Amino acid sequence: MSKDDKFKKQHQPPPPLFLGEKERDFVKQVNDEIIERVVGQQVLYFPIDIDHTNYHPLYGEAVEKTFLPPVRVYALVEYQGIETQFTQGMGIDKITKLLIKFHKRRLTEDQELFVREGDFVRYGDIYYEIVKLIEPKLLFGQPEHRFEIQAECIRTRDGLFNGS
Amino acid sequence: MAVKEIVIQPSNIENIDTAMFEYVRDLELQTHTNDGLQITPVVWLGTERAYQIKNNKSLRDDVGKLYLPMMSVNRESITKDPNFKGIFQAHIGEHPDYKGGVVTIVRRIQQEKTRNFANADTSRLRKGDETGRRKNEKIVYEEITIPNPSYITVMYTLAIRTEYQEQMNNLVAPFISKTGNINSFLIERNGWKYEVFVQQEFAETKNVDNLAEEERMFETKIQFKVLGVLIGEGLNRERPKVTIRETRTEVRISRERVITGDKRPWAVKDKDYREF
Repeated sequence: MSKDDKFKKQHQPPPPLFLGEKERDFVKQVNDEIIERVVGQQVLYFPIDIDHTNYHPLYGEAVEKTFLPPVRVYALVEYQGIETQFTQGMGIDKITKLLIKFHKRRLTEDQELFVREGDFVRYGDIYYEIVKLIEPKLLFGQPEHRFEIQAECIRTRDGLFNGS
Repeated sequence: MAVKEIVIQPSNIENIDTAMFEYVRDLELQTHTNDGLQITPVVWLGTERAYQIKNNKSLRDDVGKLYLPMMSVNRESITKDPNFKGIFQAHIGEHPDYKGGVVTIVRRIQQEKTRNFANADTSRLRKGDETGRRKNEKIVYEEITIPNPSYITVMYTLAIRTEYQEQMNNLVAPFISKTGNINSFLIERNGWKYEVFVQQEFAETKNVDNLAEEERMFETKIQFKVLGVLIGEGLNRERPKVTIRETRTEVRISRERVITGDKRPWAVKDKDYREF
């Protein structure tokens, strides 16, 4: 028995057999393909540029907002319809909501895009503001590999944001 | 000696808000955290979402969860109480012209017109040199007036949120003790001072008596009553913020004349005379 054949204790335990990088890449590849080639829904993402937007120093609000170059993003969009809403003291109003499910790894690794509350998306001809983010799933239960970002969005009024 | 002019912008709601916020922020209240003694950050409640998330990243961790302890200032209400009359109690109507203005805040000599009056009087006494030192009682003043001040009461809530009782004790105590045995102090911004009254109750909310599955937290709300003043309507004022008018020094009544055929025999050039 040669010296090289001797069992050596490894510094770290081996990775899980079927939940490693290759499997994660495979999941990404399948998801990319389904979202982009099969479903094909897309939104235009407008990240607000905090450095160039002239926010009020106290109230933290800006009538004119500056945004970074918009990014075309493929995602699963759940349109939740137009609803009548009675605005107290004002009258009849309309509210429209979207639920957008982003593929996180595609966004952060390939498009260098990070989804944040307060950014805007355009779906069709209408702009929506991201009001709530949920990251419900881990890939293979691995805490460093979050899988999906769900963004709840509400339709913006023209006075709040106009990307055109 | 040169006169130093100080420009003071009219007092408005934003000025009162900023004065209140800056007062709390500049206290730089500290408390013990697991990173040592730290200054507790103060935020204005109700900023836009993107501003909250992106402006000051040190307020949150990587995921976006807020670090505690933290304080927020929020304006609750504005009241125009007729019983709170302020220093300038009377209501005086504005001048009914395009300039408006009511309260005289500054009076300065209009040098050129005062000099003209003095020279005119001198020229009646001697010919040649009309200038020179002479007692002059015809002084023209420029009066700077502003609109009526409107007195308001503005209520603010300071919310303090901590993870530990000790932190809360450290942060609440200054608001109780800093003013001694009275409850008032002054805040200042842009040359305006406002009196603030700390309200009596320090309302505590905590979930330690029924923690269940919730995050352990302590919250105290302190209310401040600010006696503020507004000068003018702001952006929607139709007249100027500040009006400058000149005072009268002399009242002249011209000689009565008939419409036609009234020549002035002493006048060398009578341009005003028209033959009809």
